[in-house]
Amino acid sequence: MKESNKGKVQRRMLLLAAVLLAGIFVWFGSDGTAVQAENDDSTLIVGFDASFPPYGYQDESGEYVGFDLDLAQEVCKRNGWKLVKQPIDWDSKDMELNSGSIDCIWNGFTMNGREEEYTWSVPYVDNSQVVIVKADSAIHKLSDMAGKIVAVQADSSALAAFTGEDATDENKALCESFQDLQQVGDYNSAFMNLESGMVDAICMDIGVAKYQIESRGDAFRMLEESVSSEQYGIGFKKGNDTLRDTVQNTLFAMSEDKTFETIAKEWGLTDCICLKEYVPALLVEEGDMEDDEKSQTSYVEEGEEIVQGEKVQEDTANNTEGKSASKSDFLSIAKQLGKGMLATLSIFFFTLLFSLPLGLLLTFVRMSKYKVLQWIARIYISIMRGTPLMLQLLVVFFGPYYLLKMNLSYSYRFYAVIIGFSLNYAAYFAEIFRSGIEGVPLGQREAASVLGYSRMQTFTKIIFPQMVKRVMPPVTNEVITLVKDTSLAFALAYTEMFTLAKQIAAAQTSILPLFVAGLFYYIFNFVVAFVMEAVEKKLNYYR
Amino acid sequence: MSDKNSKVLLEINNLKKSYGNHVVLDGIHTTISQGEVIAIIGPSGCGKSTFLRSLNLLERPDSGEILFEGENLMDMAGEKQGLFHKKTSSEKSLNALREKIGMVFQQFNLFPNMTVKQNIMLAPVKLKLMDKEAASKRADELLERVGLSDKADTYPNMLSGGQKQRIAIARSLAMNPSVMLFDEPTSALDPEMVGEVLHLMKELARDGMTMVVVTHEMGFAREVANRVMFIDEKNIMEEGSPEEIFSNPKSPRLKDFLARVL
Ligand SMILES: Nc1ncnc2c1ncn2[C@@H]1O[C@H](COP(=O)(O)OP(=O)(O)OP(=O)(O)O)[C@@H](O)[C@H]1O
Ligand SMILES: [Mg+2]
Repeated sequence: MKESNKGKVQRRMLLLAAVLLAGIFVWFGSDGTAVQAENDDSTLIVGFDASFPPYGYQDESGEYVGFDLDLAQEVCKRNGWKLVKQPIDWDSKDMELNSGSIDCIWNGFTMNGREEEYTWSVPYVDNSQVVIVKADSAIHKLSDMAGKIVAVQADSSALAAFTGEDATDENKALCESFQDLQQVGDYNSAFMNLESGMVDAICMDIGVAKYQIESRGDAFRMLEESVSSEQYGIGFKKGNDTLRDTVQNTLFAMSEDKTFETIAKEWGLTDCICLKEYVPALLVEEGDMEDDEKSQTSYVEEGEEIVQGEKVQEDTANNTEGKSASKSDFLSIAKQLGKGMLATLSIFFFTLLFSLPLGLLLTFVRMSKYKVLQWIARIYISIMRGTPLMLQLLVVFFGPYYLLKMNLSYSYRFYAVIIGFSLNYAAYFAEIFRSGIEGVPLGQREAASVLGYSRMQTFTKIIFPQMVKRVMPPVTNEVITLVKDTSLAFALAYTEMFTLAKQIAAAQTSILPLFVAGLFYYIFNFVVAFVMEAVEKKLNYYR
Repeated sequence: MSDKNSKVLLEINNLKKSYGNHVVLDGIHTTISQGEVIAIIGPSGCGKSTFLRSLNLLERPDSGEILFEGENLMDMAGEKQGLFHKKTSSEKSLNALREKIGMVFQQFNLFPNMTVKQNIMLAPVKLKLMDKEAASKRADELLERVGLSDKADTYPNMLSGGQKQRIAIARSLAMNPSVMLFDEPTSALDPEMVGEVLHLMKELARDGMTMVVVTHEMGFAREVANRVMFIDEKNIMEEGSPEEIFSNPKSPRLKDFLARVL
């Protein structure tokens, strides 16, 4: 008898947990099957840094566009594939590729120095690293940069040119002479830094440099000397030769029928492309014979230095015909941000939906009479509160691949964001709930037990309602923090509003989108605070 | 022990309780019969509350027997537990017995999230002692009896201390208890409100309710109780009619105590 009743309550608890878990999995699974289909052979998931115009970025209408994406689109069309454009966080590109959440990195991706890390296509763009300074700057040659502060994008080829393993001795020495080499997240902030005098020069890819100078007017100029030259290729997961060959052969065909050139021209990159040099002789014979002598050249030829800076600079004027994002006004930015707002709202909503009950469950475990359970909950809470949420998101997203060798489906990205946020916020909510429960006077429990209430009745009718009232202020705090924390989803390159704002800011070379985003967060929080206050007021019928 | 003929409700045998090394109760023996009104007096910290709270196992004694209508409560109690844990069958029947032992606290312990009427109604309905309608009717009667019919739909925080305690008494009465335990029911009240609560308790006593009252109100003990228990030095040091205790105390400790409080 004793045992069976014990069992009943335990079973009830288990059931509650099971229902919660089932909820999570059903929600997962429902899309999970769709995902399988998405991730099969007929899809090409291209990973790119969405703030890297003109290779890949977001235009005014919110579309991801760019030279590389157009190429990818054409390749997909010719192979009958569906193209998935997946913006990624540049720092996690290798994890993305290895875990299979993207098929290739196609994004002005520098091959030099990375030859061994990926299975590469032949180079299709030859790019130099050049230096941009303010128009009135005293810097005219590379040697003038001694003692100056120079900015590069984090994990960019410009950075690699100065500090990478394969950096030339001259570049290393040049870098030594700088007062500081600063890494910035994106080019937009680099230019903000340059404009405001926080840095003296920016080193970047020539294609990007031209684009930036063009859209920012004549406040900046490019040094004639270039830091290094390099080539762009498409990076595939090491060993994935089959996909590489298919994509590459399609590119060759596109080069043959001039589609490649046309697309390059559209993007103002005519001067940078170099695919032609690598089209195999056999194909070349059939078509264009002129470049025949170069067709055998290995694309990673040692010591080959094609200094292209000068040539490109001459042609800068011609590039105006290429697509460039024009600056938009407040309203159109807000419109562009719409999709991101939706993403932010759904992170917010789903996180609350799962973390609140999960937090309560965790409170039960934390307050369980079994020491072991108590400790498990304690350790969990201490880890979740003691480590950065961004790290937890990365673990949730990449963990399944690195720990379990599971291949990740395409839409796992969103689930990972929700799971990561929910697990983290549950820990905070659990502690808030616990203090709320402990704050209910002991006398309440005594009165209930004297009146013969069961423990369940005591909790649902007496403790829980009083706890809810008690925890409103700290819960409101957490919820407001959550609104702002949603922007951490960028760690998984989930394009919520702030990431989107940064991308648009980069594409439009303006910081207005960031302010629009800020305004949105403020309004969002204003509404949240208003609602929470109303709820609190509603609960004020008793004290 | 005023009425030897009436039925014994509670029998306490060799009740012991200590907190750590600190022995509070050391082998208490007594019986409580139907219709008795017992006042428990004694110096602060002598264990009056501990004894009273042992009677319904709010405090779990270390050893001894508490027989309620012949059933030993001690056999039913689970160990002291956290908030969320398994419920044993004995706990269930313990809850059933507790319905029969009402308790009124010094701090009222009304549920602030419920109206006055819900406070009174909820337990009988939840425990399926009555249906909602019957419980509502009963609540109205009880509110009438404690003179607070007009407060049915207000929340406890709107009431004065005296009103709160009267509602707490009504809530306890709603369970139709066989015996009611009071732990200093007037100690948290402003002096002008003590009277209304004592008055209600007097009425209950007159109506034949079995009551055990820990109190500092010697006037009430003398006037209403038919037995007074003086607890000191870990046991019942002296007990008897109010007459015997107040007019003819035997032990020097009781004399001392009375000299201080009277
Ligand atoms: N939970 C507890 N833990 C440790 N000691 C306790 C606990 N509860 C009571 N005590 C001690 O047990 C003794 C008896 O306490 P009890 O509350 O029964 O006294 P009391 O006679 O009701 O006093 P008062 O008149 O002040 O209410 C006191 O010394 C008290 O300090
Ligand atoms: Mg006491």
